[in-house]
Amino acid sequence: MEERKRKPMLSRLKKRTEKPVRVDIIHDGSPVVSGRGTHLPIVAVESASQRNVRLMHGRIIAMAFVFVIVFGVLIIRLAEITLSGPAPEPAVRVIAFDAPKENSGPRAELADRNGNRLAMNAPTIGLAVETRNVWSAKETAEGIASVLKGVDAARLQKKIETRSYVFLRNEISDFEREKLVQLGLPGVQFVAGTKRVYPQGDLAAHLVGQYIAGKGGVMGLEGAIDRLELSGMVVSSIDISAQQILEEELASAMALYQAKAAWGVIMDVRNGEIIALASLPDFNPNAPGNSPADHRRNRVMYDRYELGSAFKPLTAAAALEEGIADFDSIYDVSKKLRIGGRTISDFTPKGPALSFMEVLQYSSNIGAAQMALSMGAERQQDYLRRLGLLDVLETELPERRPSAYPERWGRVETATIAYGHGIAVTPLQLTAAFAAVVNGGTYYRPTFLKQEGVREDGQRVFSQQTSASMRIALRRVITDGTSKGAEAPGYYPIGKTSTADKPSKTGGYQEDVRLSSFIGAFPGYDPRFVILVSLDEPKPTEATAGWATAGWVAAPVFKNVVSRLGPVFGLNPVGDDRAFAGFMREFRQNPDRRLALNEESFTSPDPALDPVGALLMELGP
Amino acid sequence: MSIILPDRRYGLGLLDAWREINWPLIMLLSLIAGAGVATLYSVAGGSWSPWAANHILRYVIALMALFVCGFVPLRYWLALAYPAYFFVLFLLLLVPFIGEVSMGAQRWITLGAVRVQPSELMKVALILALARYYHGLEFKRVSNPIFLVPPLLLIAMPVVLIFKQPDLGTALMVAASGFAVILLAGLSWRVTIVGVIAAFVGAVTAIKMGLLKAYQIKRLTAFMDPDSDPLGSGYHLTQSKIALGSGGLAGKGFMEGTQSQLQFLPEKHTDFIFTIFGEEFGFIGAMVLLALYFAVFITAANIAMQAKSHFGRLLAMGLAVSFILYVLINTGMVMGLAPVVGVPLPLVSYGGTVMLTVMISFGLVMSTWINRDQDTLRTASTVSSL
Repeated sequence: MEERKRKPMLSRLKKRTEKPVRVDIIHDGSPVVSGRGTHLPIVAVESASQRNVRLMHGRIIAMAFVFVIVFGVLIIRLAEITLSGPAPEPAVRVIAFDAPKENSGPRAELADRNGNRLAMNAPTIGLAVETRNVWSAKETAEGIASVLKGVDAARLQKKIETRSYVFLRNEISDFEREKLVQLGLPGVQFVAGTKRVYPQGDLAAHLVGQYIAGKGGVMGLEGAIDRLELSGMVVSSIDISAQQILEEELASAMALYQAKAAWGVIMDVRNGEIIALASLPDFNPNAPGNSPADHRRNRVMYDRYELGSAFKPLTAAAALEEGIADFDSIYDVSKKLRIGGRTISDFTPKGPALSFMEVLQYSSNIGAAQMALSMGAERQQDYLRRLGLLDVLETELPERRPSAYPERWGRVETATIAYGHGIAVTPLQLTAAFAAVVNGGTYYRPTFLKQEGVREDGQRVFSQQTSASMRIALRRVITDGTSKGAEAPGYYPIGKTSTADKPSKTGGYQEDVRLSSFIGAFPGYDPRFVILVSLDEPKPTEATAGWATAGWVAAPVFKNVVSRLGPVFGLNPVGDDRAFAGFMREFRQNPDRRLALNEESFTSPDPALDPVGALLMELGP
Repeated sequence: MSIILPDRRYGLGLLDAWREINWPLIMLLSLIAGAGVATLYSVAGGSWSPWAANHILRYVIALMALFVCGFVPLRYWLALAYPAYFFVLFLLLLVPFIGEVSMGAQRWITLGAVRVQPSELMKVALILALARYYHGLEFKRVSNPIFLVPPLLLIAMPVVLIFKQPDLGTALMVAASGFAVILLAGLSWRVTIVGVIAAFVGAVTAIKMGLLKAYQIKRLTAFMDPDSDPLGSGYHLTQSKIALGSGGLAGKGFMEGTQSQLQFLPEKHTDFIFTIFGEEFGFIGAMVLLALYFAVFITAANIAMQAKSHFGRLLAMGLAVSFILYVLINTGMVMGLAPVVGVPLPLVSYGGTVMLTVMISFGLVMSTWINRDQDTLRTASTVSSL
């Protein structure tokens, strides 16, 4: 009875009317008479727990039902894809055979800027079986298997029996063809096709790229052919002599310092043409499958790195351009710089105060950070964006990688990005940006195709004056600073070392795992080429006095490339021309230069009137 | 005359338990694993190494684990539920400190000689803990918001940790199977709808606040239009659909799948293995495999229906849902119906922890089946003292 009384209360609390209990009999002990005669009372009170079980079972069934429906959708989709989906991709074509397309001519061929062939089409003879002409599947299969290695007669026989056309090989040798002709098997067809041949082998492999039949160019200039629908002879900006020099020098340095990888770029600063680009280890595009995927990656365009100090020239140039720094600016580096919990210190602390030039010369993080801080995040970002470092660098090639930088760009980030920490860009992006610093202030988007005439689409970022000042400052880095090893006699190279600790996978930076780079240009008085070389995780050797920093390992590579590259392009080691004289005049008129040349009481001939004399003075006894 | 019926209320001896094994379930699981072996053999170009032989070995070991778990009486599992959950949660906490980084995420830790993915183990542990919780909760309190807090915490803690690894796919799967258990426990529809709305608002805020990385969002949305980014997020998908589509009705035949054999497809031995299977065995083969999976799900759901204890019911159905979610998301993923989130196809994809987790979870289902007639899961001593 109590149970019954509580019920209305409970249902009011639960705010829902309960379903009537099916039977609720209070039995007084007497037999019950119903349609089935007299029997004991049926006690069928549905208890609370039974009700729960019923509800629970309902839930289980409901959930199972939901999944039945989802399952049904899935099966419809499966049917859609497999049965009525796009006509099954003709497996044969995908295997590798590139059927000549109806309307298009042969695939475009590639050449370097001087006409040396980089990629060409060669005719091939393939093998197929037109099965309706076959007399005996067994005989045909066994005949083919006896000539071609790796063909399983039993499986081939089954294929011949079940299919109308069996494509076997893309290319067979003349010898194999001769033997098959002699066997005289009806139905066997020799299919004419073409294959892609790369006569330069692994030279410029990443630039040339890779072509997969049926899929098109997937890398490098092969990719550009499909992206831009080029045809005929595509003349690229590459110079294979320069490419050869760059690859040789990088490879020997990589072996010497047991680096994990090495890469480099040579770019014409006047129009953005990429003259050479190397990423080691490399691969042979004629047999890409023989190299691991890691070797096929173009590190210059597809990898991004925190390249470190190479950013300092960009920061310095921006500071000059904004008028917040000049050669007389002095930066206090006596103590470490603290910003928002981060401490910025220098690799080799120098003096209590550094001049503008010395900041670059001794690669002072503190100095660079101060320049950026006085510029502010917004102006800094503006310059980096105009130098193409914040957006994806689009070129003709398919390889690209967005740069990585913090979304929140506060004071700390402004300070660290000033010296290249906390921003990761591709090496190619940095090269193009650096070119704008030294070429008179114009940014050119790198191009891989030979340019005719003057490029009109350059963007002015810095003034001529800023660029000239930066050339002087960057020259000082080599004559008096961290990069003495980069001095290529007679070419007056300018540039900057960059040694970055590589970020570890767990966060933070690793101490002795470095990326040593040198970015520079030559000739310093009128730059023609900007060159970036990087060695990934070089190990110190005895010859480098136990150091693996860029000044020791990367700068000499730069020097060797410059010394060999100059003559190839008709740039002679002694630049006794007016451009050189102008450079020297600016160099001398600068108050700082006396320190640079250590010639306080020296009276030099007027270089404008007597360039050769000035040069001889400069070269010293 | 007296009939002695087996009294199974307090658990069974080992021999009795052996007689009670649900052999159809074992059969179904073995058939699926067999399909996995065949596909892995084919993917390796007709070779037992590197995957197929290992897959067999792992299955045998995992099958033994299933039997062991199945023979443990359900009331022990009830007692072990919370400790197991917190142990796995502890392992998850360890991941950021001693975890190994693989493919940009930190998921693995090494315990002695074994490398495990705690996030996978969590899929089982969470369902255990939630079933345990609702087993002890009076039914009328299930929809009471206060009593909803502990289970939500039980779900949230591991989900946040897994999300941080980062492993968005597994985090979402763990959360989904957790919510499924709450629904199964009888949460009223009204509360459910409020919860769904809250979750939606929460997700929108999370995206707005930038908690999800750009690539995660991109990956989640790429499946709707894979051709928009054929070289990036959509690449896997386009390749997968081409390969699957080339299978046709009856497939190209075992070891004949050119699309996938020719390396066009990434992750072909793990997440995208269904594509290979579909290409080689066609619509019919894929249907058969899906039917096997579904049969497993229905078997487990049936076990849940038959279980007399609340714990067993929730456990078996929760694990069944978790299992079928794997299957649906993986196959949906390769067919472009679900985001590419890196969920393996259970028992077919190559992967040790997943195999072990799935088989252990079916060990628990088996234990539920063997002990299905126990209703309260009290120990024998308590019952006799009544």
